[in-house]
Amino acid sequence: MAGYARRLLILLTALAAGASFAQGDPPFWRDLSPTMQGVLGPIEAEWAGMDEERRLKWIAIGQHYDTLTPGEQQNLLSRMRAWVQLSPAQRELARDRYRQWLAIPAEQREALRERWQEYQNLPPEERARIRAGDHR
Amino acid sequence: MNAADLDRLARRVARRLDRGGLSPHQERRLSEARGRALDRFADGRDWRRWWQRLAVPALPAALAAVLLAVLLLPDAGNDLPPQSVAEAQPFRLDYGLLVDDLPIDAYLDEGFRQWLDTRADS
Repeated sequence: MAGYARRLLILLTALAAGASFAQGDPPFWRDLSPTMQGVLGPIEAEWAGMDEERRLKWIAIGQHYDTLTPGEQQNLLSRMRAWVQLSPAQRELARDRYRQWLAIPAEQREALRERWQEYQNLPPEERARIRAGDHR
Repeated sequence: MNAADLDRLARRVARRLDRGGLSPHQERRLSEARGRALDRFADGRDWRRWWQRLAVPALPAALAAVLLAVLLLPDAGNDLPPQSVAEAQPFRLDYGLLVDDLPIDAYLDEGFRQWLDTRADS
């Protein structure tokens, strides 16, 4: 009997621990651990407006935070807020172009990174002129 | 695996869970396994039948074996950004965009694309 009770306790513990992730029960900000709240802090203001799928996606991203390099952690923290503030169409456009980016050879990706840096070094007014379609 | 082996396995899982200190990736996979177990549990309409099934001693031990497998199986690389289009599932796409060297603006800045086209033509 004791063996049965112990095994049942293990099962119930596992079920209880996973209850917050059950379907139909969106994770609320207050339910996140302090560590997770710290990682996802840049998007706290947007959390209430997210559906369950998006919240779970962000939790999954947050759970990978410790596996990132310091540079990747910095990238993530600095881009989260901008990403959630993009329109759905902008996010989909970025995903499509990222897929294209993944399809090109690694050396071309590296060359494109360098081109991006060159483009960033252009004076702001010149970049504005290019965006306006003036290629003089 | 006989009942005694399953019992020992369940004890190992309990000790491992009590000890804590799981990596974020292990915690995520454990949560997913728990979620799947909950989904299967919730799918049953006859609760009495489910309770009877749970009462079978082998079932909790089998679940414990699954949980242990989740903890111990080697990482399949799911925590990495996609390296190819074939790997580019929705979650991994967003993850890659957020951590990649190239900022998101590079994908959305139409001026950058025009500038690249101009350079390619010249």
